[in-house]
Parts: sequence; structure tokens; C-alpha cells
Amino acid sequence: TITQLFKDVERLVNQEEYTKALRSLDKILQSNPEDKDALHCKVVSYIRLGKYQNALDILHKNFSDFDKLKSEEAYCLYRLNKFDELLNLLRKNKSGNNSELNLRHLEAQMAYKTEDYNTSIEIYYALLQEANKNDDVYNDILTNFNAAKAALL
Amino acid sequence: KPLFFDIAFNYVDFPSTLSQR
Ligand SMILES: [K+]
Repeated sequence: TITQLFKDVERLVNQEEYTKALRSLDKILQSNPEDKDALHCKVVSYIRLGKYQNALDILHKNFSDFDKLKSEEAYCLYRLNKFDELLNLLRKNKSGNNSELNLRHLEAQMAYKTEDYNTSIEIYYALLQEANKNDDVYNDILTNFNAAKAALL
Repeated sequence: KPLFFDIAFNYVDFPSTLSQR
């Protein structure tokens, strides 16, 4: 049954068995081709397997602008070095100086990858001001901030 | 090359609804 198959998916992704999880997900999608949870799980499974184009294909085929998985799409574009498309997505999802944290991280990472270190530094500086020193992510942000600063020298 | 973390990866995750399906 679908319920049993979703239980299998949950267990398999907890075991990091993403290829097996994809097989269960395909069984679900054979009877329910539009199941958004199953499609979302497929996207994340492909990303965990490093198959970013497969993930992107599902996103483009099955998710409209309305229910789009923005973090997932942006992440795939980043890993595939599709920077023009990523910039487009980032622009569309920015209101004023604000966008979601995940997209700001991707913007900073893309800037670093494309050697626009000043932009990277600027974003990490702002993220550091907003982050709590006790958060796990604080030291990661600081590491990236320092990497971008070092790259400028 | 200095250490640089892929922080954005942490924002990619399975749907929270998975356990309720
Ligand atoms: K990376």
C-alpha cells in the first residue's frame, strides 16, 4: 500500500539508502503520479546522491511557480554552475534587501565560487550580525567569511 | 584553498509531512 511504501521511504532515507528510496518512490508515483510528497522526496534523494540534473528535471516538470521548492531548485542550479538561472531565481525571490536565509547563503556561496569575494564578504558580514554566537551555524558562517576575506588578499 | 562550508546544503531536506503519510 501507499502508506507502507511511505514508511519504507522514511526508513530508507534515515538509513541514507537513497537509491532504494527512489525505487519505493517510483512505486508510489506509478499509482499516484502527482503525489507532491513523493516528488519532493525524489528531488531530495537525487540531491543527496549528487544527481542535481535529475532533481532539476523533476522540479521543472512537476512543480509550478506557486508550489516550487525554491531551496532545492536554487541548490541544484548552484551545484550545476547555472549561475544565470540562479541569479534569476534569487532576484525573483528577493523583496527589498530581504530574502530567505537559504537563498542568502546560496547567493554568498555563488559569489565565492565566481570569485566575487566582495559580495560574498558583504553577505556573510550581514549573516554574522544576525546569527547567534551560540548557534552551530555561527562558526560555519565565520569560516566562510574568513575564506572570502583571505581570497581577496 | 581555505576551508569553505556548503551551508546551503543544510536547507535542503525531506518534507516534514513524510512521517504522516
Ligand atoms: K560546494
